[in-house]
Amino acid sequence: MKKEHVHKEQLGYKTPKGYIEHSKNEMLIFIEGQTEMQKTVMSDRRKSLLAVAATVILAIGGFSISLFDTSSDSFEQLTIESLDVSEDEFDQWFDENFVLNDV
Amino acid sequence: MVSEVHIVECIKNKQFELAVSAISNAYHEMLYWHIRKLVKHHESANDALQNTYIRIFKGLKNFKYKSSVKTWCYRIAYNESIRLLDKNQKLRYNDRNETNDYFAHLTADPYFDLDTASHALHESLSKLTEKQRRIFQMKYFDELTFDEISKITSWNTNSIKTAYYAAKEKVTIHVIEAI
Repeated sequence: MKKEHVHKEQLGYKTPKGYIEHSKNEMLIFIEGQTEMQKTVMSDRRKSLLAVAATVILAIGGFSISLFDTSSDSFEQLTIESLDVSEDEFDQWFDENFVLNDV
Repeated sequence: MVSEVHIVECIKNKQFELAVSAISNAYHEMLYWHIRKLVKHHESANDALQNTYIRIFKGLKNFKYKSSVKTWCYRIAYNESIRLLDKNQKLRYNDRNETNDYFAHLTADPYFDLDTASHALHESLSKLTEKQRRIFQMKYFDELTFDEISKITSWNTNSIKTAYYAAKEKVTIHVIEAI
């Protein structure tokens, strides 16, 4: 008889039948579960990181486009210029469309 | 029997699941009994063993090769047992109806066999200080070396030797008297 077994008997410690083998398998299955969970968490984190990265890229892209794109500026410029009508031109336009037409 | 070298190989190759499996094959039963002697109750030992496995698995990536894998696993198991004992101690402190008596604690476990247990041995163990009892159990039952016990508990080797010889003497005298 192994010394270890004598000790267990001396101490009066028992375990459920087949406990050691069963618990060994149980612990390994538990660890496998932990690994799967870690992988899922990692892939979830990766997905979140990808989403954040995509948002950042889009934001930077959008900002860069607005920074380098002058079309909107020129459009605004045109709008402002179009509003800025000289008094002579306006008088002429008014005369042509209203005053002279009535004659 | 899985060798220590094989486990180290698995760790070095970052095959952590394989390493845990190898550790389990080599030390599962030893770890359970190490924990059981510290926490006494089977259910508590089972809980501490599960936590030990989680910590082993999580810690393998950072294994520093400062001690053998066996000693490292024992250290984790020891720390988990002490953590659980401390937690239970706090619960017991709040629960005034439950006695803290050594034997009452033992017999409360359905997996404690009062008929086969050596009363003299348990009585002598109950008379030791907590430190002496832990050291005695590790040296006498688990057959660990003083150096291993020192690495597991972080206690000084000389103080471990002193505590062990004092415990051994107390146990011997008590068991002889009982016979």
